Amino acid sequence: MSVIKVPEIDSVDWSCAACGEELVRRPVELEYLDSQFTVELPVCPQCNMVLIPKALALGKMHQVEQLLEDK
Amino acid sequence: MTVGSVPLWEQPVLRQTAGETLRPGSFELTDRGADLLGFAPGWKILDVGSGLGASVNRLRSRYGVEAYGVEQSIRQLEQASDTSNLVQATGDSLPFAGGSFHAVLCECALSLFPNPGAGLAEFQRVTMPGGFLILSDLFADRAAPAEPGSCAGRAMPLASIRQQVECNGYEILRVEEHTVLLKDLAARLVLAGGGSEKECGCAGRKGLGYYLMIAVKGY
Repeated sequence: MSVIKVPEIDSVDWSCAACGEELVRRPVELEYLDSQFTVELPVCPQCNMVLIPKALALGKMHQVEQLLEDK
Repeated sequence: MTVGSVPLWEQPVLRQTAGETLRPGSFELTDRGADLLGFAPGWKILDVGSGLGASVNRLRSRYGVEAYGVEQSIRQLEQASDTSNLVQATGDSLPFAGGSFHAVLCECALSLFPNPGAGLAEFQRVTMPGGFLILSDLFADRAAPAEPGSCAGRAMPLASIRQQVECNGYEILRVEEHTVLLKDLAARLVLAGGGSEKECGCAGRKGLGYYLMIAVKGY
């Protein structure tokens, strides 16, 4: 399945506190219950730490979790 | 599933998230139906509501069948990569002689018919005796007021669908629930959408499911 591009990520401009590297957008595998999604997210190119912006975590990702939980 | 006046299946976001098939599960249920019935080279297959022609191409290349598609939307036909086996028509008035096909396929489209019963009668007419019907679509846990142009808003209870299929001369061989495919696509649409909860009716409406039904036409 194709990589999902989340519009909110376009405005993210962060650096990794540990490495000092600017985050770059890369496909990241997200799993929840039995579903798996490949989503483009900001990643540190040095240590591969992934940033999930708060608005995304509390917004769409929360909505997806509820949807998959059938709530 | 509509946003404003443009139905979801005509929007780029669906193609980006669901691919060329524009429906839950991509080819998973297409292949499952074809495998269960043992589609063989030379079989004539009709896909009603063929969209961009993805299933027609898939069935021709993977199973060697003589597949054709019927699609009422000019916009969908214009975007199809190969229209040589696609015909512009509505599903309840098929431009084929009676008994022409070994099987009729209708994927994620029956709930959009103004009169699904009339569509099923037409599917039955163009199917040869002993031929098959493969349906995959949304179902609802209860009847809801119909929303024009919205498949989520027009989903029928599974019992009603079964009854209409049987009333139109078919014997149901198998019904399977594949709701996980619907949830998966709805989740993808939420992630890829512009932030509106109304991007996909499936995400906002409770009690929706997805089924695969296989039936045989009597002799």
